[in-house]
Amino acid sequence: MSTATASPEATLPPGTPVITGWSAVSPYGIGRERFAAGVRSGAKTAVKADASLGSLPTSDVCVVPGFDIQEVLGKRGTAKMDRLTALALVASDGLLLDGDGNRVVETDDLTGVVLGITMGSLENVTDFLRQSYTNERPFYVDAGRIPFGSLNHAAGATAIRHGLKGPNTTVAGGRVSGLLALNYARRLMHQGRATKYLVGSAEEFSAAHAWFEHTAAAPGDPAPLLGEGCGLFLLEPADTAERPALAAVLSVETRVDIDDDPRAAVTACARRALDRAGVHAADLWAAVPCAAPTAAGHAEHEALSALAPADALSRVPSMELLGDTSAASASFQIGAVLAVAEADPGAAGRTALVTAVDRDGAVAAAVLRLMGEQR
Amino acid sequence: MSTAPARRRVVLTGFGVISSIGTGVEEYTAGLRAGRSGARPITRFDTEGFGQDVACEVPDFEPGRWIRNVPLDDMGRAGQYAVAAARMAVEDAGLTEADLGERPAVVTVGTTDGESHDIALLLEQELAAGDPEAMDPVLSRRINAGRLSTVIARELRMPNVEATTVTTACAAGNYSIGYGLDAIRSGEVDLALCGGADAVCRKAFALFKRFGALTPDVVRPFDKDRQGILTGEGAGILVLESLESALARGARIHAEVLGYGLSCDAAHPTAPNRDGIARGIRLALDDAGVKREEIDFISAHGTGTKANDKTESAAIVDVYGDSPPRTVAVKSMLGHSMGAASALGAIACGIAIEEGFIPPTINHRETDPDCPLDVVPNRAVEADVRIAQNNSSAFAGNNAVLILGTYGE
Repeated sequence: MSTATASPEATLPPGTPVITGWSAVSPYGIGRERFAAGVRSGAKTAVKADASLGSLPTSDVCVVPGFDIQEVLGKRGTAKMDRLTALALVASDGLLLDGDGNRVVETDDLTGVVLGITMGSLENVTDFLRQSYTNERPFYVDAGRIPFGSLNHAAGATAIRHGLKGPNTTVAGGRVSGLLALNYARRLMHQGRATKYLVGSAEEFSAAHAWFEHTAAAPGDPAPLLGEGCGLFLLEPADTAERPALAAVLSVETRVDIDDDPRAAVTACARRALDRAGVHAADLWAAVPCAAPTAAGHAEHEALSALAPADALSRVPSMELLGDTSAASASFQIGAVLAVAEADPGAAGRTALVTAVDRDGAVAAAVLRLMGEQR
Repeated sequence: MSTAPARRRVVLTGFGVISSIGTGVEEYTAGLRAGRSGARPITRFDTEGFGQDVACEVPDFEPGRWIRNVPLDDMGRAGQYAVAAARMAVEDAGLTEADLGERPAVVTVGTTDGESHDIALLLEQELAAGDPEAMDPVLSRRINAGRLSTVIARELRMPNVEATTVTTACAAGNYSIGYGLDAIRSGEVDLALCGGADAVCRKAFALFKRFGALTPDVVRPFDKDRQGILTGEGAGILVLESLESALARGARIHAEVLGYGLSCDAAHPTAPNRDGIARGIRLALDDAGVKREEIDFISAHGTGTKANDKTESAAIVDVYGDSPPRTVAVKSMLGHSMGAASALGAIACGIAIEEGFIPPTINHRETDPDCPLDVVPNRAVEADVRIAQNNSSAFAGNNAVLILGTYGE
């Protein structure tokens, strides 16, 4: 499929949401450039866990290198901040500000924020409860940390940091949450509730999260290698976008695996996303599964292998390199597609499929058209 | 008004209620009409050392009555409430599993704490053993909030759905209903199961106690002597349907969803914000195409804290002027059921429209001069309710306001 002569933008129905900017805080480091370079190099990110993380079920972790909250965000208001919020704030700075801290994206009272999560900051909630159980009285808990324990805090804090008064939403769905957030933003923009959206998803690494994941693993499965980070996108309707489109969101489809058959659920969901987008699987430039280290993750890979051309499936290095980044994963998958596409002139006008499966049964798929604009 | 031409109309055809004042629409209606209180001693967790032990727990919950297809261990208490309310809602709507099946739908559950009770149990296990390996895998698999929505799809055997859990804390119920409205208006689906669920847990109790926002007495919203909230629990799930779909199958229509508004304060992580709430109300009225004078009553966020009730009252006066509609707080009866709160509030509005009465604000003695509202003190009043407004606000500056109306031709 060649689009060398046609402008891909010209073929988009008005109102199609387009991605006009992105940012990532990932195990490759802070910022889009480090993420893009890391993805393109295919480098592993696992490192020996620092002793400061406490007792862990695994020796290795995929954390954002050098992400000390107060070093990255300064001392003001950060002493008791949870890691999830800090990751989201740094990612939002990367999306809205230039390297000198100047705002480069215009916002208004209808600029929305929607962030996908799994269960917020599990470190915050378990620390809070630990204090309740072990301190002299059960309510002698650190009040300063309480606001950060609200599951919607990271999205709200992003709004406070940048003055974003439009619809502000947090959606929970683990690995599919990035695609749920994308669909949420698509719907609300279509209904005129927002002029543009900061949309993405985030996960923090903590010992608490690691132990929950370890004990939740299926019998016989090893403790998962966990990652963390936040991927954020600027989403605007194609016809009012103020910046060049990097990719168009042609479809987002979702499903729930009610029969414990993730391969069938992923296949059905991906097919519908392709149909809705008017894209043939054989024409896909890239197909990127979430690569969860679970039976569902393997089933997802099998489903895409049967559906997409082999070169599409190998176009983007596996997300395994980042560890299981849970809620952050789907946003990282989209970021990885954009990162590989921006270095490949042949990507312009082509399409990419991104899929995700979550332990709680949710399945999602999105189809993007790469617009060939260089950031 | 900003309504687009030929916008699809969306109606409510089913209600499912698990609440501290009654299970099922009939009992909930009776509770609202009678001004029942859901306050009772806490059984969920050990309250020793808190110096108080009252919350609005759901008594005598029998999950097996409603949950047939998914093992009960696959979900925590909040999930069980969500699933039970969803089952009840589709039955109230007259939808069978055969009607649902592969039908495209949105399933959206709002929550504040999700299965935080299970997280507390896991921590108890770790502390008792001195070892995190001691945590029960059955519990650790079910703590993520996404499950509140996916488990409804599994129980009702609905694979072709978008299952989204909205974790915008105490405004999450209205957010969920609004999302279902948008999904149906878009034409992409004609059915949505939306609402909220939460379960009484140590986390919420300790948090509000630490903040000095837990009343040692009863909940007295808008009263000059109000002292705070009681934590509560339950679930409210509503069946939203396109009007064409409801008419085509001859469904009973409880009410119409006229519109909603979302605003973000972008100001303070926990304090309520007058301008943010007022903006949310105006956005909702505009989306609904409803004039201020058409609102027959407001179901307030009305938590019973000093800060909320004063700020919310001021926002209502900002929008409505000196003679605002009657404004009631069902949290006086239900306590603060967190993510379920505005879903239960929305159902209360639907019932008010259908049954022709405005539920009371109970435990009321003397209205705070800072809350110049007719709060319908202590006794429900008969009223022809055509349009009702349901407010909600949350930490992180998230406001969601919903407008329901009587269904007319």
